[in-house]
Amino acid sequence: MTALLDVQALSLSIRTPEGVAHILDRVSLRVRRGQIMGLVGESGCGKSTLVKAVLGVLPQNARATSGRVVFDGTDLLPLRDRELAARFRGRRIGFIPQDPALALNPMFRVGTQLLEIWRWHAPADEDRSAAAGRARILALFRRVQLPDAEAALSRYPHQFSGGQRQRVLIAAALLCRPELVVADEPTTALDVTTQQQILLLIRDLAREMTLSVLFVTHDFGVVSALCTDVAVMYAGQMVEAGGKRALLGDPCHPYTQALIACHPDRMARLAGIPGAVPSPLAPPSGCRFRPRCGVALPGCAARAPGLSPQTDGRGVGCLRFDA
Amino acid sequence: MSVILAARGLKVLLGGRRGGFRRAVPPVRAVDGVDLDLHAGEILGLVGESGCGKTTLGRTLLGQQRESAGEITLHGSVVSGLAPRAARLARSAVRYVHQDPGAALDPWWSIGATLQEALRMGGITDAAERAARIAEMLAAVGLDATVAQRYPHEVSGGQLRRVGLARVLVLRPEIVILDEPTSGLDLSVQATVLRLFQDLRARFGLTYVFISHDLSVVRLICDRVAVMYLGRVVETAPAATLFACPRHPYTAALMQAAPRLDADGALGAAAVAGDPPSAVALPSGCRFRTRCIHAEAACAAADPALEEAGPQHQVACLRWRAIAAQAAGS
Repeated sequence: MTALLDVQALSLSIRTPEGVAHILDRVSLRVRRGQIMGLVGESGCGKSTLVKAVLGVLPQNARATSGRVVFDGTDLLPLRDRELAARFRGRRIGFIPQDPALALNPMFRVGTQLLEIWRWHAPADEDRSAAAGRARILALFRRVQLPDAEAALSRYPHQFSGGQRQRVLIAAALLCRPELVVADEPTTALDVTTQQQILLLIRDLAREMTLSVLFVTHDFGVVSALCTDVAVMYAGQMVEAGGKRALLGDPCHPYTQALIACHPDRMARLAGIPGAVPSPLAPPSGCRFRPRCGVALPGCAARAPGLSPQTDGRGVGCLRFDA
Repeated sequence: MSVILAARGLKVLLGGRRGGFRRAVPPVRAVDGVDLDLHAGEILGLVGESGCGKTTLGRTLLGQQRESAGEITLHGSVVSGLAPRAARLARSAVRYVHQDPGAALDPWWSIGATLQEALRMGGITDAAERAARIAEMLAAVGLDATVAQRYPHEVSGGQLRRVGLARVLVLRPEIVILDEPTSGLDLSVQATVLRLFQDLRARFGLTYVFISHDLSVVRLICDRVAVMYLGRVVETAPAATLFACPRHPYTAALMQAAPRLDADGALGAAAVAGDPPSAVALPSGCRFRTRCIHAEAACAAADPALEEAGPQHQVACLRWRAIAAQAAGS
């Protein structure tokens, strides 16, 4: 099956006052239809930048030096913002943000804010009128189990709890019938019982609407519960990607192994990973995990292999697994 | 094990206004009748959802927040009922490490200056002694001595946690209250910080109150756990017992909801519905009954107190025996 989202060897750098930061180094990621892909990595690994590249909201000083971001056969990178907004972002690609309190304007009723999205992004073959939009929003509010959906339309963001606000934003992401939903740590601001409700909602909606989900998180517990597949990034490189069960049960890449061993549910003894994440201003040559890797080979300094396919279908970006 | 710090019937009401000429505003019952023992040398986990009063309880044990009712004893002597300044003085053996160490440090002061001030406030007037203690403690928390010359923005998040810890440890406390000490840390950094907590406890004979919402971390590091819901401790037990057989429906729901790293993991059905009720207008009887799947009519009438459910295991639920029997039978 072809991938709905296919990021191909994307390299990206950002100009900063201190120099050029090499944020992404030949990152590849494929999300097929109906997949819930967890994108995992520690802070500074480039997962947010990758998401911004997919959404086409990169900062002005960022530049993709090579690679493509292909969505259903179209490379999004060369598109102008106006075209991206008209055809993809908000329309075929929905977004669920991290902090539901920041993503809504406190001055406007949520119904008004969602209608605005409908007016700008509704599919061309749909009725863009306010009445049609209102009906669609109401149906979604009921589906995301907002209590008293009719009245919710005319409430302000502060009148909802954190979990309810996240439900409003899930409805906003789904408004224009997207095929891919990008969720950037949507449950980090929530308590565990609320988190569970939101994860269940995302899972059920993905099944119902055959959505693909790119779910950014740093929580392997959430990945275990929700995702079908996992991709792990380190310092701007994709180190391993594959099915959830295989990757969490038997990680291949030394970084994935070390990271999972740091999880409190797996920790045999309390120890972290020695060393620190390298600065993107001067990343090490070749594999960027090399300076902290216990099993590095002399060849690791020369080049970092891309994800090389393994027999169980996963890709591993390590010289030891390079065919 | 000896009890080092104890709270009995502790209540903290926040805000609120009496009636009179203006409309009365009921206070928030942030801590509402907490009984808690802290044993010397243990790590006591304090878990619960946001707004359950864990941080307020921590601040009250510290003496930063004045209790509205109840009694706190430290080494057997009563230290509650005092004015704020006197309360802090009486409880100088208790120290608090902020949730966000970056916000707790002055960005205009070098880390060394901040540590110096902590010692001056602690009554250490001898400059040589201050310098010696700072050098000792920076080394103990695994930081280079040159960190003292740096400013908070120049060090990483993991290092800031260490600085936050060093700042209270220079005062040689017996009890350290750690408020969400691992929130916002990456996994690999979290592991080293947890290790540091254990090493420091062994080295300085510390007792920790470990406030956290991360059940995986609590399970790993805590000796005993107290579960809070809306200002009340609803269950306490040794960590192994609590995670193996939670007795309170809320504890069970929390554990069921907390995602665990498991290659075959799947989402369970939602353990509780809705959000916690407001701490201003609590439900009658058991405060969890509005979300509890086991609630009966009796739960609305009586407010359950903590009772023994096993060795060192206490639970505040009217129906825990029936629920346990039901679970064993099915």
